[in-house]
Amino acid sequence: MSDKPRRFRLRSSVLLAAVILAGVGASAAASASLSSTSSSAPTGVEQQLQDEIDALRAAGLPASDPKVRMLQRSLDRLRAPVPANLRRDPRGDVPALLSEASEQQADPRAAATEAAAEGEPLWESGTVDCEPVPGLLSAAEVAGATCVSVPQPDGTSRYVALGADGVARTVMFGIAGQVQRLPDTQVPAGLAPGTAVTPTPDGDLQLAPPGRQPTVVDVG
Amino acid sequence: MAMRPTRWLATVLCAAAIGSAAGCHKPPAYETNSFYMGRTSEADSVSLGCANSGKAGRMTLFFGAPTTVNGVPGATVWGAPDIDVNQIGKSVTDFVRGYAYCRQDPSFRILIGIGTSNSAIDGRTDDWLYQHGQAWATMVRQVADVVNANWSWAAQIYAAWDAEPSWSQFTKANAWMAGYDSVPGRLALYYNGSADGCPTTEAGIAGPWGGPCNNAWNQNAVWYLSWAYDPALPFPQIYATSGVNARQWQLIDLFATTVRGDGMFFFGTMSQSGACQQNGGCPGTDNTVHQAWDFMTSWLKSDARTQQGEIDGMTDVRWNT
Repeated sequence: MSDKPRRFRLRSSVLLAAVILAGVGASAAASASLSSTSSSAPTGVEQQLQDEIDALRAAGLPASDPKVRMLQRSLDRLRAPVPANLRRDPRGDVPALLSEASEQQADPRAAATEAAAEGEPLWESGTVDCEPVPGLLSAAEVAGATCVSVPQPDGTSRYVALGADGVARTVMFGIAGQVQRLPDTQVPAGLAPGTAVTPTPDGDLQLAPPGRQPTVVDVG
Repeated sequence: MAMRPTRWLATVLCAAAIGSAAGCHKPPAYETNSFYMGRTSEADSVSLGCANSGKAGRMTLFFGAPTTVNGVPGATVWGAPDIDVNQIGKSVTDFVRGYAYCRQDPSFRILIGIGTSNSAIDGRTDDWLYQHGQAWATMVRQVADVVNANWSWAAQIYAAWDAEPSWSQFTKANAWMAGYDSVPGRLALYYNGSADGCPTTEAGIAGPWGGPCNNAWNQNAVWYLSWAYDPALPFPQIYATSGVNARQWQLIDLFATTVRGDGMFFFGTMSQSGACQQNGGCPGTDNTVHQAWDFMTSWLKSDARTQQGEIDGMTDVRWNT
């Protein structure tokens, strides 16, 4: 399956060397490498990268190994001299953006309304690709489902997976990390093939089976 | 049971190095958070970067499943409209702006993975997935160029990938990864994946492909995606409070060492206790960032063939909605 070059397990015999490098950061190799690009002491993350490179090298990977080279490039960039005219905020607008975000967090309903008015709604509305929601909605639960995103008047949203078994499995998305699985509900008469699924302005879900009267489902 | 000399020495050295008496745990600033991205506006992303300005080390911003937005490769965003790779790149750059502006210690550096997943890809063709992987690699490299030009003193950019056996066929996941790996200059990629269904005992390692995992994957498949590809840096999900996820990954490493002759090195562990607190709890899968790290470290050390000196990264994922 793999035609990649073989790499070698970090054996006990080299573990001690790697631990010493990782633990105290005092090896001549590490010091030489780090001091070659800067005279200042390595930061914690720079030392971490150096430790990882040293461990891979101690395990037998050559300096030319792609993993080693990728990590080394990352370390080299971190160790590059800081420009004398360093500007933390080149555009000068970070404070204003932080204020804007703070206001949105304080009033999610107003934020959702404003965003929608500006043509950049916070939430999707309508049918969407079905995908698992980590920890809340599994791949098996969305398999074969029709999925729809339903914005709510209170500034939150519902992600609903309408299963072929007629069960609506719903996850609530709110502001500030508020994400919860809501109780499953049974869709009246199930979900017939060809049913049009549409969010309503009130935050419900309208189901319109072909040739039949639409029904409205409360998604919580 | 008496502690073996190497383990005893490791504990002493780690304690001496970071001033901790409790093994090799990092200082709190190095326990990062990762995020499932639900809000990606300029203000939201800058704010999220600022909120993480007290952290240093590896973390991931997880966007959702690969998709296409108006003909441009992109990803889903939880609850929000899908966004294309250009918008994803801008969101990550905005995160860096906020981080750099607010950074609480000049020694802090953040190593950000730009993540997608293998969810909802079984309906895609292999060509589509290959091209999406290429587009992702190109976007990550372009974001890195911008960050290197402006904020290399504060941040570095990586890719990230949440690949889970239950989420797609192996061939589909492999098509995406092959595309990613085909791009010249592609950056390293955190493999923030799971090993669901993979063996939990050494007896489960069987034959050239190892033991079975969910969805017709096997240990070889997980190893191949998470290590054999050059950019892949294993940084797995260690969620189960029983420690079984760490055991699964240690056994994949053992398979790789004994069958493939190509053992793995782990760059970090990912937990989800933060997300669990936000969503009302997930009993049995809510390891803290320390518990995840401890399980992984302990299992790797349980066999001389899988030992490694140190796991450097530890991150706990949360929702950003």
